Amino acid sequence: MDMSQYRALFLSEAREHLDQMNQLVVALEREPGDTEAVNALFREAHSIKGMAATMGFEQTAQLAHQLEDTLDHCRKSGGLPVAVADRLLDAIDLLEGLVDDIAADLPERDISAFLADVVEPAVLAVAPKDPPDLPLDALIEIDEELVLTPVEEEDIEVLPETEVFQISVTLAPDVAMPAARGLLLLRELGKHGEIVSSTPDKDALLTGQVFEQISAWFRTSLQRDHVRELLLAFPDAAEVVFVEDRRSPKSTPGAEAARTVRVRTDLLDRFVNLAGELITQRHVLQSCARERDWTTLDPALERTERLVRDLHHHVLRTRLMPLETIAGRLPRIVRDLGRKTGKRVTFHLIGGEVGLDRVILDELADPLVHLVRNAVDHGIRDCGEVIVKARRERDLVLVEVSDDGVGMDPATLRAKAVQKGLLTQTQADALSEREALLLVCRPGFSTAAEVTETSGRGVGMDVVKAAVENLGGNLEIDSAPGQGTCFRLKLPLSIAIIKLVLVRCAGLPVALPVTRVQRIIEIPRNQVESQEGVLFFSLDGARVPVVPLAGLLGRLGQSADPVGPETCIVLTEWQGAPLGLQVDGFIGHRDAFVKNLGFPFDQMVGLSGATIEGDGSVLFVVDPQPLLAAWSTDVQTGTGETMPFQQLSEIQRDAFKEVSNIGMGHAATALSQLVGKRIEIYVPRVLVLPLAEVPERLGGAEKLMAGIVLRIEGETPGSIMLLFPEESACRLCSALLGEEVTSLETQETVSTLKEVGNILSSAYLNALGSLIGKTLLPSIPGFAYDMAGALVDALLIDLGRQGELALMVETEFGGELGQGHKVRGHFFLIPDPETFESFLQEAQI
Amino acid sequence: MAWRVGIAEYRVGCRPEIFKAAGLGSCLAVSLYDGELGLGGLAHTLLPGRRQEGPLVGSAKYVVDAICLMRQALLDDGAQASRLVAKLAGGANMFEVEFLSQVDGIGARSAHSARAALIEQGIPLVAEDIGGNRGRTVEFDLATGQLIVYCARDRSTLRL
Repeated sequence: MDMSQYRALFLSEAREHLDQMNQLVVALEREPGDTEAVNALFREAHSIKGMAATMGFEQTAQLAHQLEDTLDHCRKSGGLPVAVADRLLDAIDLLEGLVDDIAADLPERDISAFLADVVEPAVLAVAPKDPPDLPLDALIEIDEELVLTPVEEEDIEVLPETEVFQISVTLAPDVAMPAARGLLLLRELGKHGEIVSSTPDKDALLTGQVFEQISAWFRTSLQRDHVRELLLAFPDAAEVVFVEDRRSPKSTPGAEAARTVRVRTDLLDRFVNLAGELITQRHVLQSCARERDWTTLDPALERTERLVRDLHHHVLRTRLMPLETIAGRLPRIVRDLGRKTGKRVTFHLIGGEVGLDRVILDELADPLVHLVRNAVDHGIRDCGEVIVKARRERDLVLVEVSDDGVGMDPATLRAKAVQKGLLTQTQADALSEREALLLVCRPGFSTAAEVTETSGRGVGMDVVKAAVENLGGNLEIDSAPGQGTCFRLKLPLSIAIIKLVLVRCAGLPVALPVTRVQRIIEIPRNQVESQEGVLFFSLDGARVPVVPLAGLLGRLGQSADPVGPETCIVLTEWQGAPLGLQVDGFIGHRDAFVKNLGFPFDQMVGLSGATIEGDGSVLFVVDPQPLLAAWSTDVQTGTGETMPFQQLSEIQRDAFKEVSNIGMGHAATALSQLVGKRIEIYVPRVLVLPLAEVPERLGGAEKLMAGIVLRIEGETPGSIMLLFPEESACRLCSALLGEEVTSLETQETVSTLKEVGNILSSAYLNALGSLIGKTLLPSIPGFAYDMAGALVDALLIDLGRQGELALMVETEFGGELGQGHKVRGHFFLIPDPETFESFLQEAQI
Repeated sequence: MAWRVGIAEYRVGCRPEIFKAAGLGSCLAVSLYDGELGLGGLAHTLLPGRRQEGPLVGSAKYVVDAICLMRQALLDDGAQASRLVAKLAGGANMFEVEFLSQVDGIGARSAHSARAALIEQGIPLVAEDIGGNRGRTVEFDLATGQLIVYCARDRSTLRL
């Protein structure tokens, strides 16, 4: 059998007993003569002792034993003396500590100091009733004094490196002198370990009592199989059975304490019934399908639906646990705190039987303690009452923690907030009474000076509020000076826990519902291929399209994560076919309660909720389906424009293109006149891109180009760049200089090209300027012949200072200069972002 | 095959990757390298100094931010701070001085800013190819830690 199961049971039961004991002692303090309570206490201590001894937790057993003795004494003397109450509570605390040690797989702490420090005289010696160690030979010697007494199972000590087995040996039916055989067997066993007890015992054997079996509790360091072999080798041993081998001082290393929950048996019965009925329905449905009996199918489906609903309802009910479960320790806390602060505080729990979701209870335990502590510490002056009240209201559970103490003054709270610099005076004045009271929940509101030892230690009011909200609930505070304070927690009845898959995308953790994730695949980056602008990879022989999740989230180009040779694909489904979402990496799985978000987040496509991580950071849950729907529409229009630039609308874009076109027309005319040949312009494009992609759009970051750059001076500044591939530049110069030009490095070519730039820009800006009613003038141009990327740097500097995106209008132009010599160039207008708005306004776009 | 590091981007990785920042004009490329583990990063920075306001996003736009982010990313990956060394390339003045007065000497300023940041972070600068008026393309080979600077105009290659 699995030891860890028992251990978990031990832990949960021990804690329950200790909880009960706390409550009993506190109650007894008020009514010391309550003999029934003392009896109950005694029984609790006894249970703990028994369990601990059974499990081999010696220190715990010893302490429980001492407790038991003390209580026995009290039982006999008819009451609980006051001094003893404190000692008992200390003992209970120590027991809790021991249980914590056990839960954490640590050795039990040393309690000898506590045990030695005896208050009442009636504490007995602490050793458990252990049978004296006997050499087995003595038995055979028939030494009357050395008797093996049968012992209670629970009193058997377990020593390290040994196991205790309960063995049952059946002797052969026709054996002569079975008694003697039995004694010899015991002696044989005794050579390999210690027989703690046996049935029939030595006495019985000595009387020649007839028996068929010997059962013995045997402590040994041998392995079970070895012992079995030993016994079977014994003549006349017909059968050897190990009844149970549950005793081992070593608990399973690293075994996690399984959480247990108590469920009423009638609820379990209901489950059994429902399961049975569902099985019946399954048969009905199966036969309907087989015989194509559609008339019977409908009612059968209806019935199934009802059963499933019923089942779900009951399953949820098992998750409900009474508030009492976490409120059990509150009376003790109030009592201790009252003593410490010298106040007389009574505590009442109303509605402890109200059921709350198990998960909510877990989360609520610490905040509840904090609220109660607060009430005693800050609410009550010298005597008063703290009440915890719970009740159900439709689909909510209301838990109130109230005190009849000094109350809180909204005015004082306002002043304090201003004084601490959390709010300005105007802001503070603008708060309603309720909002002012909630100020206590602001982080930083309570200073260290006010955080006493008893309250505010690691759990502040802000944490309480966050915990309540994290559960999808609400915290309200009601208070007035002199009228006490009431903290009202509104909690949902149940919590949806959703399994999430966490991935890293564009430098952020992003959660996806596991229902949307079929598989997570890590593949070498170069297996993601591109064809006609579509990414895909091969999976099981099929081509699966790939979409970067960062793109769906509008965060392309923002990944600064370490780039490894592998990339991560989250396989999901889109319109019935598999689709891969490319992410930076897979973080892990998470079970989390996901909150729905309010306005305006609920308007965002693809955002299905959020959850709060352990460190307080928010994790957004993204549903890729609606994002993919939006994405595919974008892809289909194929505009080539990738990102919004300060809400540049289609209309604005088109208008901007048009304006630029007009300007460009003038520029082309000017160039035509210059070279004496027709120059044409092609369709301009408006591009909005991250800075990093600009060089690529210019023809390639490393492409050697002749570039002329200049600034636009005036009220709507920006930059203009003209790029010519090398041969075009040379041909242009040749045409203009009237001689063959092969190098772009001479003074002449440089000047010429600058002049070209000047003429083109002037014409352009002239036209643009008159359109928007402004004077735009080109600066003196600069020239360089180098890589396109290197040329554009300078233009991006100002843009870079202001944002992450570049907006540019690009127009390709060209013509034939005779003898089939083609000339091509690109004209770029890059407006400064901050003046772009006004530019649009002026142009009435 | 080299991974492209575009303007305002940085990449970190480990051997045997190759990172490439192409078309550096006034932009400054910064490489950090832990020779023992073969962990390194390359940043393609645009501006001197650091982002003035707002949170530190994962962007290498400002050279000081880039150095800090890369350094942290490398440390997160297991590099040892004391082993990191840096190299710089770029920071040229592509156009003549009269043009674009606001950006005059921005390359030199970026380099200066980078050097200061490296001193502050305690990372020794072991090699650099700064200034001039030629565009550069750099390849950072994480197998060797070498920064190969290629100048297209000159058709020259410099191995730092």
